Parts: sequence; C-alpha cells; structure tokens
Amino acid sequence: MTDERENPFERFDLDPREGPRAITERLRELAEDAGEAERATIRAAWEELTLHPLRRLRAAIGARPRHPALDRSGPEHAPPKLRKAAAEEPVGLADLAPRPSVVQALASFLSRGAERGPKAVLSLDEDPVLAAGAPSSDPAFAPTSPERKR
Amino acid sequence: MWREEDEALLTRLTDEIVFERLFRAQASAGARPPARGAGLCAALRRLPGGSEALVEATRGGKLEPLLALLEPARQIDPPPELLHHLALHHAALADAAASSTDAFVRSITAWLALGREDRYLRELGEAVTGGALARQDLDRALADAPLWPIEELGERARNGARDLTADAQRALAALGRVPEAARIARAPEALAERAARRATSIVAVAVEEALAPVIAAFTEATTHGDPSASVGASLLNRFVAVWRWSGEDESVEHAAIEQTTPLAWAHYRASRWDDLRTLIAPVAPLVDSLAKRIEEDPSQLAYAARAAQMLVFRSDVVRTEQETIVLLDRAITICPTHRNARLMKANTLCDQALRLLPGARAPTRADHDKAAGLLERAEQIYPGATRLPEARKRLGEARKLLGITS
Amino acid sequence: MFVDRPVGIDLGTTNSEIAMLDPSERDLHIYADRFGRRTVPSAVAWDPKGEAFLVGHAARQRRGKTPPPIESIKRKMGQAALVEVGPHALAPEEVSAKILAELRARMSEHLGKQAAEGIEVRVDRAVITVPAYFDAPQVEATRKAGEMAGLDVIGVLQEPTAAAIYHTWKSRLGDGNFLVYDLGGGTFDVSILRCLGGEYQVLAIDGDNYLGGDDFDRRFAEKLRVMLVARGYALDLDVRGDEADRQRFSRLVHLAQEIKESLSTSDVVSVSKQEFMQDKNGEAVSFEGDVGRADYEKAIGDLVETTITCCERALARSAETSSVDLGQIDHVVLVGGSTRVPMVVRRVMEAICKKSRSEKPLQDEVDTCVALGAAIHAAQLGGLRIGDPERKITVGFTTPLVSQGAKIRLGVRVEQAPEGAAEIAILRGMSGAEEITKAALPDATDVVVRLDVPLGEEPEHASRVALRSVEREVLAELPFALYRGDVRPRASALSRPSVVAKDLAIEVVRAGRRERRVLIARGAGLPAEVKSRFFTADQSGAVVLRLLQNRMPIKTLLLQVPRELPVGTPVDLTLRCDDAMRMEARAVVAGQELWAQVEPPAAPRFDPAGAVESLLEEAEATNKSLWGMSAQSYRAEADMLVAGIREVVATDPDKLQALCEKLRLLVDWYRGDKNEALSPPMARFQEELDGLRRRVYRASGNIYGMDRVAWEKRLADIEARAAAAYEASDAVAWRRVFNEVQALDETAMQEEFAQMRLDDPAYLERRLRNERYFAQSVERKLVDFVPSSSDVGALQTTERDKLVAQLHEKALEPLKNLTSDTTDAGALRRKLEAINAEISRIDNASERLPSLGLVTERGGA
Repeated sequence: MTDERENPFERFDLDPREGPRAITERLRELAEDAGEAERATIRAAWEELTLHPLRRLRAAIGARPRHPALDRSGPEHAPPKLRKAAAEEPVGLADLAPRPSVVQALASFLSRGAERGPKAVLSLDEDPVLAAGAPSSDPAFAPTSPERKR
Repeated sequence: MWREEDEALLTRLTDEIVFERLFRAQASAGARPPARGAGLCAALRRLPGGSEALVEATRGGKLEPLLALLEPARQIDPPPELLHHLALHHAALADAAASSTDAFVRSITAWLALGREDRYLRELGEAVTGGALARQDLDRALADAPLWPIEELGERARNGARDLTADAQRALAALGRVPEAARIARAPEALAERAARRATSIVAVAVEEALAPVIAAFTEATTHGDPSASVGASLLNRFVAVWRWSGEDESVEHAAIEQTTPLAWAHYRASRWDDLRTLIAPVAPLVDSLAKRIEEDPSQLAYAARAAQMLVFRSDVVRTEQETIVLLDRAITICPTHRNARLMKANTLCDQALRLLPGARAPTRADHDKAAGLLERAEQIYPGATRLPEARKRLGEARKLLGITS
Repeated sequence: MFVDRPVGIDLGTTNSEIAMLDPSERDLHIYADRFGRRTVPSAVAWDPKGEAFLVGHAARQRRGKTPPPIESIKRKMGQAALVEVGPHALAPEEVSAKILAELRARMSEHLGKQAAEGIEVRVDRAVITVPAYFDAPQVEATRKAGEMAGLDVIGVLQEPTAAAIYHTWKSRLGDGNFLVYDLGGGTFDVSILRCLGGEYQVLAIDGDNYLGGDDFDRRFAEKLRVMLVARGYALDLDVRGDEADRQRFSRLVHLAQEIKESLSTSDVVSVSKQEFMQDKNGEAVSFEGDVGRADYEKAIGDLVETTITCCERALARSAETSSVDLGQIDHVVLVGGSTRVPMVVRRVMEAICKKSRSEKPLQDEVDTCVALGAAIHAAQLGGLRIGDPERKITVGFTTPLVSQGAKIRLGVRVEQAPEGAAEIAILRGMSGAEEITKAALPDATDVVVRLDVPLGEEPEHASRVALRSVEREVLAELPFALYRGDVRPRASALSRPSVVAKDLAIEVVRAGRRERRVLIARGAGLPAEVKSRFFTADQSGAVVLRLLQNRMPIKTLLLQVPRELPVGTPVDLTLRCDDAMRMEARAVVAGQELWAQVEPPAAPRFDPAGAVESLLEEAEATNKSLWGMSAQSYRAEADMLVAGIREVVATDPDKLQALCEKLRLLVDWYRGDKNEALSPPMARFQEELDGLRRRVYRASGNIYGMDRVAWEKRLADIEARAAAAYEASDAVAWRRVFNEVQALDETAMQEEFAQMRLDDPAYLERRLRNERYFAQSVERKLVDFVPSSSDVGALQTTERDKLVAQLHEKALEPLKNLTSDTTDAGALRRKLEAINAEISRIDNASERLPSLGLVTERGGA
C-alpha cells in the first residue's frame, strides 16, 4: 500500500472483479509492447494477481474501489489507456460503458476480425449482443475463467 | 444532447480535480496523487453534506468541510466503501507526509471499522476469488483481512529497524496505538483482541531486528578479549539509540543489561572504578526504567536480580555515600534477597558505624548507641557482611571504654 | 539466403527426438528417417572396423557385440566419471553431444530437402528439454552437450511443461489445470501446470531422477535372474565389480524388455529363448516358460507406487502455491514410452483421474510430445531469423508471423545491415515497389522495431523485408511470408514456462546458527534475477557466500576483506539464472566486486568401492545423534535413500552412485549440526531449567511471594515457549527464552547465594574443580571441531588454534597452579571468577567457528 510497492490493480488500472483470465489478457497486451524492465514488473504483477486466489484477494483489498463512472480515460497522470485506439475510430460502446459483461460479449466481434468494436455505431436495436439477449443482466465477473467451472 | 454518461463523466472529472487538490493539501504540494483516488470523492458525495462539501471544494477551494468528513472518528455509520477508501487514503497520506503516525492510526481505525462490515468484504472476496477458494479458506482470509495492514506496518517497522529509520519508528509508534484505533473503530471485541495481539508480536520482532546488529557488534568486540571502557560505552550507546527509537521497549533494557553485566564485572574485579563508571553511564536511563517497571509490578521478577546488580555497580562509583545508600535501597526493593546489594548495604552501614567509633578513645554514648543500631541493622540485612567482624570488634572496644556491660 | 528457425530437442534416456514449428505455425515438423521412425535411439557406439562413432539405430545394433553401445547415458549426466566408448574415454556430456550432433545433422538434411532452391535451412539454435527434477549439474551437462554439438542453446525447458504446451497447442485445450505424468526411460517427473488465457504457470514439480522404464526393466531382469538361478544356472552376478557380469545382466535386461513389450498387449506370454547368453560356468542359458502380466506387475509394483507418491507431493505443493488440488485438475497427461505399461495407466486412473475432473488421461504422442512442445517454445523464444550474408542483411522476427485478425503487429530486429541503410520497409509480393509500411532504422542492433502490417483474407501473403537508404533506394531485401489464419493458443511475453526446479539458497547466520535463505524459490520462472542485501556478521577478514541448490553446494564465493571492516557492513548479492539455466552470481562489499559463473563441483564426492557399507553405518550413527525436528526431517530423507541403496547395490551401479552421493551430502549436512544446533543446545537449556526447578523445590517457603504452585505454572509457561521456539527452529526466540531462564534463576538464587559461604574452602575446592572441568570440556570441543572442507576451512582452523592458545594461557595453565589451600580466600575466589569469564568468552567464540565469514540478513548475527 505504499508508493514503492504500488498496488498492481491500481498500477495497471485493472478491475479486481474481472477474474484471472481477463487480467491475463490485459496484462499480456501490455507486456508485449513493453521493454524488458517493465516486462519484469508486469510479470510480477501477473503472478501476484493470478497465481493464488488469496494473493489476488489481498491485492484487491489493497486497491481502491473503482470510480462509479468506470471510464477508462482520465486526467493525464492516470495510467495510459489500455486499448490503443487510432484517433479516427468511431466511438464504440466499449468506451462509454465498458462493463465486463459487455466487453466479454464484444470479444466475439473482435475475434471475428473487427478491430475494436463494430465498424459503425450501431443503433441499439441492431446491436447483436443486446438483440440476442445478453446471458445475464449483471454478472459481477466473466463466467469463462477456469476456476469457476463447477 | 446531454446524456447520462456525459453527466457521469463530468462528475468523474470533478472528483478527479477535487481529489488532486485534497491530496496535495494533505500530503505536500508536489505529491503525486494516487491514480484511482477520485473514488473517494464519489463516496463522500453520498454522505449527508457530502455534495455540498465537494461543491465548496470545487468552487471556492475550501477544503475544510471535506477534511472533516475524512476523520474516521467522526463517522457514525459510514458506508463500507467509504471506509475502504479512507483506509487506503490515510495510508497513502502516511507515505507522503512526515507526520504520518496519526495517518497510520487513522488508516488502521478505518480498517478495523471495516471489520464490522461482514457483507462488504465477503462480497468483494467472492467476486475476486470466484469459486477458487474453499469456503472455509475464504472465511479465514476475510476474518484476517482487517489485520493485514497491521502486518504491513510491521513489515515497514522491520525494514527500517536495522537503521533505526524515522519511517520505521513511526510505524512502531502506530503499532503501539492499535488498541486505541480498535476502540475508536468500535471494532468487535474478538477482532480488537486479535489486532492487539498481532501488533504486540510484530513490535517484538521489529525490536529484535533493531537489536540484532548491536548484539552482533558486541559479540564481535568481546570475542577476543574485553574491550576498553570507552569502546564498551560507545557500543552501549547504540543500545540507548535502539531504546529511544523503540519508544523505550523493555526487551531492549533486558538486552542492554545482559551485555553490560560481564563487562562491568571485569572492571569491578580489577577495581577499575573510573572505567566502570564510564561503562555503565550510558545505560543508566535503561536501568532506571527497568527498575521502575519492577517496582510497579513485582511479578516482573525475571530480571530483578540483574537490574539490582546494575544498581549495585552504580552505587560503587557514585561520589557520595548518600547516593550509594539510595541506590542500594532501591536494589533491595526490587530484589529483596539480592546478595550483593545486601552485602554492600550492610558493609556501608558498618562503615558508617565505624566512623562513629574512633577506636583510640571512647565515643559519645549517643554515637555508641547509633553505631550499635547500625550494626544491628547490618546484621539483619546480611549477617556475613565482611565489614561486620571489624565493626563489632570496634564496638566491643568502645563499650569497654564507655564501661557498658551487656 | 538462409533461414534459421530454432528447434526443440528431447534428449531422452532411451530415445531422442527433434522438431520444429513451421513459421506459418500450421505444422510441426518432426524429424523422421526413411523408415518413418521419428525417434532416434540415444545410443553411441564405436565401430572398430570403420574406426568411427555410430549414433542411433546403428549404435543400438551393436548390442551383444564388442565393444557394446553406450545407452542410457542420460543417467550419468552430471557425474564426473568418464565412459569408455571403444578406445576412447568420454565424459557423459560428450557422449550426449554426439547424439545431439546427429539429430542436428539429420534435421538439417531433412529440412534442406524440403526447402526451396537456394535457401539454406540452418539448425543452429535449440531448446533442449530436461526432466523437471534435474539438479544443477545435470542441467549444466545437458547444456554443455548442446554447445559441444555446435548449437546455441537458447533455452532449457522442463519436459512436462513441454508436453503441456504441445497438448494445449494441438487439442486447443484452453484454460485449465494440468497434471503431467512423465515416465521416461530413466527419470520420472510430475508437474502441475496452469494454462490461463494461453499463458503458463508452473504450480509444482516433483519427481525422481533415477526412476524410469529402465528401473522397471532391471527389476524384472532381477526377477528373471532369480528364476534362472532356481533352475540351476550359475548366475550370481557382481554387477559392480565384474565387467563380464555386467554384460550378463545387460542380456537379462534386454530379455526383460522384450517380455515387457509383449505383456503390454497380452496377459500371458510364452517365452522360448534359446541360448541367449552364457552363465558363469560357461553354460548356455535358455529361458522357457510362461510369464504372466501379474509377475511383471508384482516386480514393479512399488516403483509405480513411488510415482504416485511423487504426484501426491506435487499436488500438496500446488495447493500451497496456488490453491489447486486434485479436485481442480482438468487434464491428466501421460508422457514417455514407459506410460504404455498397463499397470501405470491403471494406477494413474485410480489414484489420480478418478478424483480429478479428467475422466481418463491424455495419451497422445507419448514419445514425441516433448520435442514438439519444445519446438513451440523454441519458436516463442527465438522467432525466425533470415539473412543473406553476401548482401549484408540479417533480420530477426521476434513475433509470430501469423495473425487471426486483419492486422499483424510485427517485431523486427535488424542484426546486420548494409552501409547506408537508414530505413526498414515491408514490401508487398515477391517483387515490385509497393510499400506496406516502413520505419526508421534504430542505431543499435538489438532494438526491436514495431511494424503494423494489414492482412487481407488470403491465407498466405508473400512479402519482402527491405533495408533502404535515406533516398528510399533498396539496398538489400529478403523474401518472407505472413500468414492469416487460426492462431493456436501460444504463450507470449507473460509466461515463463521454464522454471527453477529446486530452491537456490544462500547460507546465512542467525542467532549463532547456520540457516538457509532461499533466494530464488522453486517454481520461479526463467529468466530470474534477484538482488539481496546482507551484512557482515564478524571481523574474520573474509566474507563467505555459499550458494546451495537444495542441499548441494554449487558455488562458494570467498572475498577477502580487511579485518577492520565493521560488523554490519552491507554485502550486495545479485543472483541471475537465464532461460538456459546458466547461473551467475555477483557480490559487492566495501568496494570490492566478485563475479562468478555458478557451477556444480567437478570432482565426485563419493567413491563407491567398498565405501557403501561404511556410509550406511555413518548414516545410522547420525540418525542416533539427532533429536526433535532435525531428527524427523533427517530420518524421512535418509530412510528413503538407504532403502534405495540397499535395493540397487547389486543391480545398478549408476543409480547406486547417485544415491550414495545424495546420502553423503545428507549425512554431512546433519553431522555438521553438532557444531550448529540451536545455540545454546537443548541439553544446556534443560540443565538451566532443572537447576531453577531444584532451587524452587529446595526453598522452604515462598520465593518472591510466589508459592510452589505459582512457580510451577511459571516454569511450565517458560517450557512451553521454549518448546515452541525449538520446534519452529526459531533461533531468536529460543535464545530469548534461555536468557530469561538464566535471569530468573539468578533472581531465585539470591537467597541461597546469600547464605553460601563463598570463602569456605570446601566451596572453593568445588569451584576450582568445576572450572578445570569447564576449561577441559571447552578445549575438547575446540580440538574436536571439524573445519569445513572448502576454502573457509583454513580460516576456521587459524581461529580455532588461536582460541586454544588463549584457553591454555588464560585458563588451563593458571588453573593448574591454583589450590584451594590458601589464606586469601577472597582473592582466590575473584581469580576463579575471572577465569570463568575467560572460559565463557572462549566458549562463545568457539560457537561462532562454523559460521565464520558468513553473512547475515537484515537482522543480525
């Protein structure tokens, strides 16, 4: 909880409730672009947050609850935005309301070759996620991480 | 069109700005505000009077109303999320500011208060660990969670112990106030007790760490023979430094006396009184402190004999007989059967008696009676006192000279 | 132009394989010979006719001939003894190097045939696998073998991890927890791994370096031998001492292997082997009869159980590190030819699969999955290098060349560029000037340039990487391809699948006692680096940094420093371990610096000839001299080793050597304990406590207002605290309790003390005798002290001799001349007290001898 040992959730702006898989994906992106020294820090954070659930819990308790507005963009001194968007990209749903559930659902878009979200801003009626009926209205975490298989 | 999201964004930006101002005001102008601190403002907003305080802070730059809301002691039934923020906020302030013992204590207060809020922690715990932890493991962890910051303080204290850093000292001081924090937080009794116990044992470890290099230096110095009195004294000064740093911890007193005693004996046996005086001078405050503890609580008898012996050493090198007697009396008070103290006291009484009995001619009757009284006391205190035979002999002669029989 | 893609090599006990992941990441190429055999026997032989070395199948053909082939050399890796191959005497790593060189040559040839015209396929870089549980010397030898074969060993990977990587890649298993059961020819490993978002975490490792198919075979061969002896053949063999007997036993092992293979597929085998060898009387031996699977399983049963025990230990560890226990294992993977034995599969199903989430174990490609997994990891570590030395262009791609999406983010490192090159560009197609993207060329050669390349829908995009001058003139270019398609889960920058298998520790001193501080814990991913700060604990003039892996000393750094250097001077140590498990240590103290490559000791520590029995005796004697927790942990390990030794003493010289070395280390470690038990030793604590107790009982009334019951309670509390400190080996707490007992005793004894006639001749006589006894026992302790066998020993001996001289001068001599018959009792008493103080001081100094020069942690000595 000190400056030198900055809380990994805060440092990389991660949501403790997202689950180890989402954490892994976000940190992987960062690690790929990072220099060697920074990579070592990211790896250490990854281990801290995903190896043992108790360590993740400890880190989560040491992390400030996220601001209700949940906007990833903030003043300059906040950590850089995780999604490296080109400026001319149309604003997608992901930016305005990045609830983990929606992000997960959108992931299927991304894997089908879309870059960051729908290429055009769809109206809410056309939005396939909402039209299909999202799995549940407000799961607190993504349901696909392995530890939750029962 | 002004959407809800835009309102939210604006609120968020406001909170960021206010938080930055607040943090810089409380820590220092150049301090870097923690990245996610704005959530604190969002939480404050929901308190009665919170919105207004935030508006004041934004518009007029007046932070007082906001600051008032940050005191954990002032909160009557704060929402758990606010407590969480407060706990981390004060801890961050403790890092950034110099007067951080109070900040540490406020942080611990907030954590212990959070310990009352079972549901918040449990919900967080379940969300974070999913099903990965067995129920009882999670329960145990959550029960322990409010104590984690105490352990972190302990870590801080240990890290700085070797060098007696101010930072570590503040942490130690904060650990000493854990019971106070638990009271203010109205923590459940079981939690308060565990917190106090944990804090105590952590303090012991930190003090041990601080002592270890001093003891190592001592061991090295005495390995090949006795160090000189001045070297000994300067080593003992290190014990004093640890003692002050630790807030006058008792185990430091024990350790100091342990190391001093053999060196003192060496000087004593060789009748090197000046050296003895030089050696024991630095640890006088520690000896006095330990003696006071034993006086106040006689069940603390483990170190009674050793403390008494240190007082006896001091009695050997003070300048006046009056001081000697005071010291010996104190030694006997804390260790009533202490052989050396009794012996020295008895001998001193004999010396006083001898001064009253000139030997060559008869003393006054009053002096004789006084001397007899002294010798009687001496005999009671220590029948085998080495000066007793001579003193008795002199008394016998005096009686003869005075013509007293029986 | 050349293409350099790193390969993965499984250097197995019985067989070896080599594989490569195609740059398109669609295919794994495994080398296969013209008969389609994908494994190359790990055998090397000398052909006396051709006067050359044979490797592989050709070498194995020489079984039964003279000179016979060398097989299972893996079991000798890490040992110093040379191996005779024909007229040559080679170190085990040299033998392995020949196998690796053979693999390299064949793969080169194989790929060369498939490559396009004018393209040279280089097989220069490799990831070699090792059993997860290999010790540092064994890993070191493996890497050296690779280097001797002309390979740049870019990584050393644990075999079970390689297998897991392969299975995830192939079956797209997705996230989950794996238990990999790897039973090879000579070693057994079990690893617990987690795959999370395509990244790997190693949760636990366990195993046995001398337990594999070979051991099953030898067991079974022993059984056959006994059967043959019962049938009247002269087959009492001395495998350790007699070469001819060793050969005979080999023949039995081959027979055992044949029978075992048949028993894999049927329950009973009818054996009719005529005159397959000669017994000690020269008589031809035949084996006729039915052998049932049950006979085989009975012979190997406890060995299989040992593997299950290792699995259980590993699961206990993974529960500790990551809360993953058997119930959370998603996949059980079997690796290694020996997992074909039906009993093995059965036991794994019963003991492991049943309680996990995996119904039955995965058994694909048991022989090759390790090499294939290593190839995947090699691709991740080494990327792809292409170049044309003539045109002075060499380029390395650090990222995959495949992407699922419409864009690929390439990492390019320009290793060699022609004069005047200022820019790097990606050009479309095999010709033409259409530029896709470009970037400025960095000044340094090891900087990675990031280039974003858009991809169309086609699966393959021919492209060129070009180096251009400032004027955009192409100075040199190389063709390559980018691919669009399925990207299988692949670990990237986050995971470090290769791990440190056993703790790397340093010896420190704490409260007068030697302890081990782990610097890099087992399971830590490679590369790993740790920086620690220690402090000097004495002024002996030397700083000793003794590094250990588990219990084995692997390097001692000895720095000479001035004697005046104050106690508490910082000592900074950096310990580094790279992807290929090369270890390096650097120490800085008082401006002095020392670098060292960490190596295992070269000389064998154990000489088997005749010494086994005496080692076993020593082990037993040590057993008797320990108590408490030390005794328990010693016994657990020693019993296992002794049982193992007794079993193989007649059948397996290699394993015997290895086990004896381990036992030797174990005994040395614990025997040193006499010098280093908790200080002060338990016996002394008991003495003090008993003395105090007696005092309390002797007193007639209350002492200090506490009656006997209250005193009893107090003593019981002290004893409990002492026991807790002892059991936890907490040297600091132990000393604290001891000091408290002494202080309390001093307080309690004041009354008695007051009544003692200290100048009574009888008392003085007793005192004199006690001092003499004390001095003599300290002298004995000093004389008996065994200095360390390393460089530090000289330091310790000098110090010890100094103390002995002081003891004589200040205590023993004066005591000789003192007598209790004296007029000045007070003076005598004071002299005795002074002598006592001297002896105590020397006694304390003697206790520091074993830890002279050692550093201490954050705390103090």
